Amino acid sequence: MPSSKKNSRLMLGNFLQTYGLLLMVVLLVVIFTFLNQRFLTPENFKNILEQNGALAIIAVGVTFSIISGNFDLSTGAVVALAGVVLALVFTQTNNMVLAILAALGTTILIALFNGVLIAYLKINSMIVTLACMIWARGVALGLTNADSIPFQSPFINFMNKSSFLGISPIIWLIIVSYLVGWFILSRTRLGRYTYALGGDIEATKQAGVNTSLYTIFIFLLSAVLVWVGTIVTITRLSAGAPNAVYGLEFDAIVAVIIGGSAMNGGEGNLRKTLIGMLFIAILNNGLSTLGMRDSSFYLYKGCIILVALFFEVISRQILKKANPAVVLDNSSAG
Amino acid sequence: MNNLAQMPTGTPAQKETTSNRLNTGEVVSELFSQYGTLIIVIVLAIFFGATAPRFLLAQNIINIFKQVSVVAIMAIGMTMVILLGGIDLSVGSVALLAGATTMYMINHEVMGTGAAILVGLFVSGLVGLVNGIMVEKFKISPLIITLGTMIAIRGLAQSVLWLDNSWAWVKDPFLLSIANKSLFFIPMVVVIMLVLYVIFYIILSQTGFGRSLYAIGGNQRAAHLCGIPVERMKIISYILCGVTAGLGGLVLISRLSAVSPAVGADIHFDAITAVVLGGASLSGGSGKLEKTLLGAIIVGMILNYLTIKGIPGTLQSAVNGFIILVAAVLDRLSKMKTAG
Repeated sequence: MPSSKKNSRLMLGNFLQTYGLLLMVVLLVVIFTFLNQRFLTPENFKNILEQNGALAIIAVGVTFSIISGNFDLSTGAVVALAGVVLALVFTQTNNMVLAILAALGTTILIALFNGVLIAYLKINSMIVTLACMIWARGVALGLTNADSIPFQSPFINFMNKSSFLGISPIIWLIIVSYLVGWFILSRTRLGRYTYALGGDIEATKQAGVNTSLYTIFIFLLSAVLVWVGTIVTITRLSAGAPNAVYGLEFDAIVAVIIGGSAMNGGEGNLRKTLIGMLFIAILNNGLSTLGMRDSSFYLYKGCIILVALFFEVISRQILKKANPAVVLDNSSAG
Repeated sequence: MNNLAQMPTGTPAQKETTSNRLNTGEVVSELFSQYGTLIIVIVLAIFFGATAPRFLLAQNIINIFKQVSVVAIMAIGMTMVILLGGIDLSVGSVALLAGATTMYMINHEVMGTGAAILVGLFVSGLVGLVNGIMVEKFKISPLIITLGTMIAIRGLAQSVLWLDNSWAWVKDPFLLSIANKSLFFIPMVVVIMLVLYVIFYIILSQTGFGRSLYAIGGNQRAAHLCGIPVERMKIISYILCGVTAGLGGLVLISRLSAVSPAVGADIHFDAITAVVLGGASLSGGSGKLEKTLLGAIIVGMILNYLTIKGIPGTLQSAVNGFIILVAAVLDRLSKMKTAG
């Protein structure tokens, strides 16, 4: 009798872990469709993805850093800084290629700086990236005197207006990011070491892996995605703005966590991140189309995210309660 | 660990020299860890005074203390939370919530000033309780939880403000007097800050409650085995952090003489910076109140100096971020030295 109870618990836990968030996404869609007739249209779905393009792309990099056991709180501030650098270089030189490369240089340099502090000086990634979140936004504010820098360029028009196979460039960038991210995470050495670093960094080191170097590689990979996210953000705003994407780092981390990747690293995948990202994106879009004030927007958003986190944790605890027996059996047998 | 592993390989003579060198090194690092924050304050004061004569004027020093008071008050609770290995990013939003609810109660004559302040502080403590329960019972990272409550509580506080057209003037004579009156030339806000520090210093160093806090910070498992209710103590630390955030918020709105939706927006960074500069490690286990106060003063001194030197306010948060980094690197280097 108890074993069947345990089994049903295990099944419930597994079910919630696998489909819980998907059900919540469906629930959100139903609620928003009920509140707003124009919500469930192909046009709005495209809009949701484009509005949250930067978030979707950056969440791929954040998935890597969380699986490897590191937190990255700096992504939003780095997008703002790289965007400001891009806009400044473009307005000075009128050369879009140079401006885009300058933005890439910015994200790579910051990733190297953070990565060295985390991997070689062994400072907690939370502190390093928290500090980076503060100073990068501060430098962006200082560079522009807290103003945004609007500009016009054929590149921006191309990104906003063109489409290939009926799909806009921003959505193509999202698709490519997830495909490349999935390939690296599941088919390459860097991907395997990402899991190993988060699972047990000491054991990985003893197996002969240069853990510090691979930690820096993960931060560099994330930097490239932050750069792509910056281009998407610039495209949407057609300006470099020091206050752009405020809170993006939070959305990205939450997307990964409610997707079900473990907070302390070692497990997770991009399919989970994709669903988590859709949840946040639909929430952002749905709430903002209801025409509510900023204050109510943040109140609802914060509460709904806390509810989603709560369900994630509950399903994890149900699994844990059902699982110890299984783990014990294995260890006694072996 | 490292020392133990290296010891047997050396001859006795070598052992002696290394241990001697270690002793002087230990003395230096011990001195630095005891008085480091104070030394930094003195060095900065001399340097700033030499390069900007206005800096050391009595009026300016009083100004620095006034500017520091709000962050310093919020940093009291933050010290306790960080001591126990947590963090609370929601303090800025809690400050706004306390200010908004108190002003609503007073402006709509729901209750008297004293009762309204108590309600504001009660609400702040309630947010702390929610933070603490979610962190401790659900074992979610405090960073994520308090980032979430930071957003949600700011929304809630702004909704309260919206009832007053999203802007409330502070007209209450008592609250205004906090910002304007002085006691023997010391501004009231500074007196309040110092009194709070004395009270919490006594609580932390003289009571069983304080001793258990440090016991948990030092070794959570050992504290648990000694029968200290670890979980409950951690939740209490979040409640106290909420209450001091509310106190800071009330002082802040009385200084601004208005409550606007942006009040306290980035103040959690300043509070965390103060605690980290005071030598507390963000992984928990250390944190002294008197050093937190010095840490807050360091931030205040640097920002005041930048203002005197005409460096734009927009760059100030950049400076704040770098201060946290420098403090973290110094902390790490000093630990590496003592470790080997």
